Amino acid sequence: MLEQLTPILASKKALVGLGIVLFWVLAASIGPFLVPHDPLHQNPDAINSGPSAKHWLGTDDVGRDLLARIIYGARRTLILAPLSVLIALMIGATLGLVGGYFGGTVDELVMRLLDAFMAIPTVLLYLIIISSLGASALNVVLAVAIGGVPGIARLVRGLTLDIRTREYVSAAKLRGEGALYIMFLEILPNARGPIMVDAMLRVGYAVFAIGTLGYLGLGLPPPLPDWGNMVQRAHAFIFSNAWGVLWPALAISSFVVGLNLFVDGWQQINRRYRG
Amino acid sequence: MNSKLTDRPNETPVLEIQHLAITYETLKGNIPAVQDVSFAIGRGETLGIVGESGCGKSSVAFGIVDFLGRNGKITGGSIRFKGQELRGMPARELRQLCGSQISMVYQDPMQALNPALRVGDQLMEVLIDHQEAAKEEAREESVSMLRQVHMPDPEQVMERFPHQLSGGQQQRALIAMALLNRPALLIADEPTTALDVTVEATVLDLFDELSQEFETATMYISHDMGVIARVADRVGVLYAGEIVELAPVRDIFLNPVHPYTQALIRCVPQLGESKETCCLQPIRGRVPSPKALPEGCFFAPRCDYARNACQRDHPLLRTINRGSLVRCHYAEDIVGGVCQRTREADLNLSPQETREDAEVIFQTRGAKTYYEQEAQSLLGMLGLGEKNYVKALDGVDLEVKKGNTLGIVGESGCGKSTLAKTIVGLESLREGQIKFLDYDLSETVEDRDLELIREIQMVFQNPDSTLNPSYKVGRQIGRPLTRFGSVKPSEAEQGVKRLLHAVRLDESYANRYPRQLSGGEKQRVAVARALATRPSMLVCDEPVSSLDVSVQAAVLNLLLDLQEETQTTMLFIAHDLSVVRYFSDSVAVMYLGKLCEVGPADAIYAPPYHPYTEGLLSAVPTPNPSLEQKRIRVTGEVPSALNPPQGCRFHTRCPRKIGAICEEQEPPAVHAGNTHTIYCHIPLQELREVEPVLTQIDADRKFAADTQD
Repeated sequence: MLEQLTPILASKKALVGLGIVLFWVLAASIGPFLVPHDPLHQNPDAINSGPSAKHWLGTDDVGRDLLARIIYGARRTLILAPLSVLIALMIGATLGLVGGYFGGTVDELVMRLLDAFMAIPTVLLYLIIISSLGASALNVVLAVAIGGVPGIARLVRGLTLDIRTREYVSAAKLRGEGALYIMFLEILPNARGPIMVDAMLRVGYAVFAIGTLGYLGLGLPPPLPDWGNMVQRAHAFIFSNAWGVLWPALAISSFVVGLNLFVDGWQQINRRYRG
Repeated sequence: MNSKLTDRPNETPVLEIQHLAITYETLKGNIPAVQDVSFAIGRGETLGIVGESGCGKSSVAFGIVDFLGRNGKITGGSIRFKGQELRGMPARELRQLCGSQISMVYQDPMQALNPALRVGDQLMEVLIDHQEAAKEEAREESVSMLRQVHMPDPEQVMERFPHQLSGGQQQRALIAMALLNRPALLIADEPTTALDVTVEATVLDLFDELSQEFETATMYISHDMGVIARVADRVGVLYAGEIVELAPVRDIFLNPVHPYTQALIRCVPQLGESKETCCLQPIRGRVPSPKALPEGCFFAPRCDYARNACQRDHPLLRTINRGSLVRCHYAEDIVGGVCQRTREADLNLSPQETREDAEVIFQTRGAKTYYEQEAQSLLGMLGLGEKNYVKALDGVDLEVKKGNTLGIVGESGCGKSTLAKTIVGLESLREGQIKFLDYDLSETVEDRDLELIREIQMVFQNPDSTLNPSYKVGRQIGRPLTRFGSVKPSEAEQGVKRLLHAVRLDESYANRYPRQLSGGEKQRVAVARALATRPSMLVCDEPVSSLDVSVQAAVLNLLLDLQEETQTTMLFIAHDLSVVRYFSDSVAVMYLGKLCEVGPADAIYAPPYHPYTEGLLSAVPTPNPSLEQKRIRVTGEVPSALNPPQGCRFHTRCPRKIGAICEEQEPPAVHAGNTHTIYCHIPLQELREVEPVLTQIDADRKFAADTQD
């Protein structure tokens, strides 16, 4: 494990990215105990106010403290985004492995199924899923997951097509290993590098996606805060109180940038070490 | 091939390198790839640089042409080209010089040619850029050069793209490109390694011819001693970034002085030697990593002659006798003990007779495996229209007795790998029969019984991809042990230790990952893994081709020992005729999916020969100075297996073709001995009268004759 951490420590970019991500993780876990205000408490005297001594980041259109909402929102986002990527990974990797390993008709079927999903514009896909399943945290996660499945499946399929030509896969066949064993225990562990890198990036996309869903009003039901619906509500008041939009937007971007920096730096170091 | 440098001692050598040192900067520190290399090459002379992987030979070549990459730097010494110092020259000037007076021929021709440009354009570009020639002139020159490299149909070839040429033709095109500017210096970095033996022979002949005609100074890099013996006038042996011996080619092979040179020659099977009469002596230990070089002499830890001074003081390169330089403290004391091959004392082989009397456990009759070609036409895509097949294996009859080794040899496209895969079940047999013990091997491995699967195992070619990089070695050896239920999971650890010992690896290897092992060690683990199920038959698909020669010897010895202990029958596939002869009891020679000749190993290597076998044997470059080799050249390239020639497959290239019968009828199986079969139309009596390809002679006479050419 330690050996795998050294690349991270060697890259400044990766460290910065990791720092940002860890900051938010910390904020989400400890923040709620430190923040003085209740994110749901509406204060009619302080509507749409900017940063002040009492409300460090200001308040939203019904007087709720923005700082508290950001921190509680962080919790939702940081749990739901990775969860949706995890689900997408499980489904996508399986589809990709099956298609890549068996080839032929099976591969065609899987690919065309994915093509069908990819042909539908993402937002429309979300609309269809949420409107039929209803708006809840779980359904949001499912919608974002399904949106991510085709991309992951393609990646894994490509990797599988390459790895299955390796001699250790032939050696496994010569032990009479079944297809499941070969796919998940011989091929998948050797594809984990690119898959993990892709997954990290997808967490960023998932944050945006959840935010978008929130923005469209399809996201997590109110009054619980999440960064996306914060932007949606505050957007109407953007000319009088830009802070309401700014803080959640900054939160989303910084988290995504942090993830990307981390992944980028890590990849760079890995490549240099190999060469 | 005389040493022209000594003929013209006052002429400035074309290339003179003194104490060259090259270092690569990496994240993990600086790696001194080249420590101290000095040599000079005169006009018309060929210097062979020989060494194993990691010795720095390619670095030297790249260093000369300033192609070391971003992190490589020349940290010491001087490179003089025709008296001019190249180090410190401004990049632009250097590039000009490199383009016009120094040329390089690389190992992989497909990678060195631009796939998007026509061959003609690439050739003409050389002249247009450097000599500012007009297009027409450039074209004429190029065609004439292609003719000089014996390229068939030069005008046609000018219009083709690289992928439309075969490997041998691509390499000729590259050589033509390299010589267009009449360079004073030609650097060849293993140019024939990727080519088939028969093609290699013709390309080596070409190098000979051209270096004489154009008087180019050539630096020829190779790991193959035989090739070096053929092309070089003088030889430099490289070890751990230093030259350890530099001598005329005759001295290197007749009287090698440095222990490493001796060891290299001792561990390579010479064409004609067999396991009954000879012992390969691998070099113990590993090549030292450039970051952790030993104190004193770099070779001392592996040297049989090492004494105290060797571990303390680093020896310098010094003159021994006229023309020879050696880097060894005790060079004078070392008498040439080169070709002292010990007898079977080391190997304890069971006598040949018991092997011959064993029962036949493996047999094929008319085995055919075809690969379906992807549909080319619209009709084909819909499943209609004619199907085209690559006839990789087209009717093969073989037999192997228990405890014996059948060697299968042939060039690319002959079907040997397909045969291996069909036997093992990775490909499906289309027609014919393969019998093994009581089993019928017509199904693919997915449909076979577990019992059968454990009886046949395989050792693969590429040590880097034969082990799963994500799991420890112990787990990978343990898996076949537990999978077939022969060992309980609690006893697996013991079983793994036992297997590691059997392949002469320490128990600690069980906890290592494949990336921590060297190529030879990985291949041993692969052997251990294959033997875990105690198979009755082991199929080895070119198991030593990717390994250095010193490691090759160790793995071959290991396989021989294991066969002796376990009486496993082996199928040994290789393209190296010397290795196959050494290792096998019987040999099958294949060409384009069919057999040419099958029989006991000593019968194959002596007349009567199939013409193809004869061509193969005379093409193999052999470094044995006491062996005279006939010069029969098989011209042309291997035809496509999609549309193999009618009648005898070999007739398009056969130097002994007798006429129309060869084009029309398939050759019959002619029995030249009780197990020796030749598939040829030429009457057996005529074949018996052919002179042997290899004859023992007095070595001095051979070199004297060569220098007179």
